[in-house]
Amino acid sequence: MAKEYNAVCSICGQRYHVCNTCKSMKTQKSWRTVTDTAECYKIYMTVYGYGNGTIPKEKARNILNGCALPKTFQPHIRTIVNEIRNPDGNT
Amino acid sequence: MTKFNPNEVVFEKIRYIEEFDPTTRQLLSRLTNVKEPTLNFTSEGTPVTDAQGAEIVTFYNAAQGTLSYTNAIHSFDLLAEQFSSEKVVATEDKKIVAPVSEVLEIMDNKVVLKYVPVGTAGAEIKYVQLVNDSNEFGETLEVSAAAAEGKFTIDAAAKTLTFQEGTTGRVIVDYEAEMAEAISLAKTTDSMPPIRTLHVHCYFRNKCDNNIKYIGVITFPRAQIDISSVDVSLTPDGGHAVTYKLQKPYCDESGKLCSVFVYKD
Repeated sequence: MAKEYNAVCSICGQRYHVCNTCKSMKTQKSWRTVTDTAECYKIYMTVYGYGNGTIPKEKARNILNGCALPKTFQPHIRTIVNEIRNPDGNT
Repeated sequence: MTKFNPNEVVFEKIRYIEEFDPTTRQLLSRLTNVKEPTLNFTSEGTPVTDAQGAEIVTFYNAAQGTLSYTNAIHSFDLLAEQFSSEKVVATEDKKIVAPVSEVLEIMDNKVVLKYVPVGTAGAEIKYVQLVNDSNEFGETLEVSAAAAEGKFTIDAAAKTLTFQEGTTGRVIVDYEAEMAEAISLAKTTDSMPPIRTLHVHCYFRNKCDNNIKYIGVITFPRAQIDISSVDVSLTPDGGHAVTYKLQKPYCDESGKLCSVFVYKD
């Protein structure tokens, strides 16, 4: 039976299924609260850290360059990702 | 000296009920606000009749007993036994994660929580609900790594949620926080209530001279909480009702369900 897509990834905007009562979710995959994949969660934490000043721009850029970036981004996330990836500071 | 052998006495009240581990005799709990106590014993009778059906004698067996009472105030120790579980007490080293709900006024696009939220890093709180002008659920905002319309960001260490510029009003925030001073208990579906030794301490009064007080102790060597139906009142004056099934200790040849002791104060 197909599972209901009841969540949207905070980074790539893809719809996915999440179940907060599942044991695997609680013990291993808490990142599914906000993202559909661990890679997207890595991007989430990088954007989050850059936004609150805990991760400098260069370090954030290095992290993103090592990630498998999704094909799509939520618009406001794309803005930040472009800002990070552009060494000249232009979006 | 005349022997102390009271017959008719006036029951005054139950002072307290103590629960012991039946094997170690360790005192486990003490309830001091007991009201509406009842003690009930039943047996199954097998009548023996003559040829004309007249009853000659009745043999009784399968003796059972129940002790019921209401503690005037709620007891978490009692509730833990009714849940067939243990009360977990938090410490600094082992905190309890408890749910928290707050309704906060948004000031300068931010709200500050009372406790530090815990959960997925960077997304400790997934959703919040704005309260609209009709004092009802308004827009639902979702956590995000960056600010945007319909989103908010969270700084858990600073207990701060930041909303998009221009967001005003009140917001309902539900989250979980670690508490060093908390207890928790949970009812599961597969546990068995413990067996306890109960001592019911009470006062009797001399029927002629009410100033003469006697101490009574009714002991139940084996009492098991009856969880077939547990009603927990959720009102201030409802009290906390409990029922025990009285059992005979297997190794006790005399098969006592209870004993009554009365002595001078």
